[in-house]
Amino acid sequence: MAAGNASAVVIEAVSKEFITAQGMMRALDNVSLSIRPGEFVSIIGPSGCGKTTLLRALAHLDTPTAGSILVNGKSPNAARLDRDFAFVFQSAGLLEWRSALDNVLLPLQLLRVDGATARHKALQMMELVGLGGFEKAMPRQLSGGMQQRVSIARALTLDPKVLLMDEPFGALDQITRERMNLELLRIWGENQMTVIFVTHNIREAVLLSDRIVVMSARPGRIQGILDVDLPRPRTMEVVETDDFVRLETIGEKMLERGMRHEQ
Amino acid sequence: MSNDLSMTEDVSPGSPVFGQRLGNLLRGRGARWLPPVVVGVSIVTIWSLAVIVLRLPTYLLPSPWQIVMELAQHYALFLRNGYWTLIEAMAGFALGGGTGLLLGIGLAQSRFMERGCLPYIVGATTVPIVAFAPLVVVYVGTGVQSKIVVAAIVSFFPLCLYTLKGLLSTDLVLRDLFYSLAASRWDVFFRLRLPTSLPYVFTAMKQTSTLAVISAIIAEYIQADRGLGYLILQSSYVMDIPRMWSAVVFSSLMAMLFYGLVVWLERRFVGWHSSLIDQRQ
Repeated sequence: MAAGNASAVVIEAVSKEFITAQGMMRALDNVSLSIRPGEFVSIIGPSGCGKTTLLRALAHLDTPTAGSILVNGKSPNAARLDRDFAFVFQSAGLLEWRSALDNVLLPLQLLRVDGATARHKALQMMELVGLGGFEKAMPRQLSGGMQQRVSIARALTLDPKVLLMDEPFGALDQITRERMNLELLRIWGENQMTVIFVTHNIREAVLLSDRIVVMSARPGRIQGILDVDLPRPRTMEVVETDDFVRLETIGEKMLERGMRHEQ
Repeated sequence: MSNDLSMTEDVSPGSPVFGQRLGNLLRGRGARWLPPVVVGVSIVTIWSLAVIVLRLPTYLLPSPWQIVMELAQHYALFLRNGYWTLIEAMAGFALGGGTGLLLGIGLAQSRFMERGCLPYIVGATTVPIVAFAPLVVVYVGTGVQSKIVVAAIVSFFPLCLYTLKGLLSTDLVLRDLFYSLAASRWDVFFRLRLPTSLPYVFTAMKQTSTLAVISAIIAEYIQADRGLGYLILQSSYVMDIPRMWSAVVFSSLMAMLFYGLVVWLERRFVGWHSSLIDQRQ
């Protein structure tokens, strides 16, 4: 089978240049990557390595200056119009005038799904992210972690084939972050979706991923790819195993090499 | 037993219980209404005392009590004239504000139109309405309609500018969200931009509600045969100071009523907005 057909996401020789006051800035330099359906891939790197730019390019929120991208076999824009992917932002991005449930309902309303069906689906998603009973809560009444749960529930309502997550737990404290990591693994285990997860936290990346793409900055390049062969399903106990610590150390070394590369 | 005790409790000023209760009042539900009431009562008291102690004659400065009496005795006069001023202010508010709102929505649709029109709109807001009002009377006529137009002109600019600003203030993440969800232009407008703009629109409406009353009165000063501006001007010719004061008090009560109506609507429609949450809790 050709690699392109079997892949959920294909990134081929993608470059992105910005024109800044200092001249041309290469945010992404010849990045190629192929991601299998159902795979959990983290993209990690120092700030300015273009990891968010790459993720946004997959969602057609940003356009590369060179190279090609296929999401679910289509151009990012076609995949967007077909709602093949969902994007989870660093900030929850909730509509503050809508209740938690009404926020989750939004994608279904945009698709003109009829009221009862949409409500049923939204309630199901609220249960899935562990927010049953908080349907009527307004965003400001929810903690940061709960707001991000609402935003994940909203992303899942249309059963996306690919879930693009841009440092979704970056603003949360360590304990909440780890709880959310496990929740995400459970949800991912229940669906068959592909997850592309941008983070700057190596521990989080090892805990979650099948593969970790380590990037270096200026210009943004793939420094290396780390296979995470830890058994699944994973719990927090995995964090204390030798294999986990080994992978974490390798990941950190790769990150450091990437940063030295920068100087 | 405990009931008996509480009944005989010493709550006179100076007792510990009194202090405690006053403290509770200031911290609890009373915290919101008590300070303005205390300040208000103080102002009225000082005013009354000043009139008595300085032996000010009524034709110079009436006491608050005399103003209340004047309002009570001639309530029909104030209601009749106030009615016209309120009609002019509200009609102007609706006409000018509505037009401003629609133009604001229109300008938000096109960057070219926004850039082209904005300098003139901002420039026009600097024209003093007092300077322009006589022209309106000349063009529109001396009846109620010229007062409505003056109030409308004043209401137009804030609504237009704030609506435009509100519509252009959508959060970047939310814009990305709607784009990633492939939302139609229509959905982006009604489900994102319009709700985002509402707090701005209400800010403009609150500002405009009192401005509309002021400008209606100004227009009545120029030429009118009814309204509070007319009443104040007529009373000034005969140096009826208590009546002038009463008309002033009546007009501000009316403006407050109008303002209160807008605030009530604001709480109903944008109660979710962070600027209103402190007041409600």
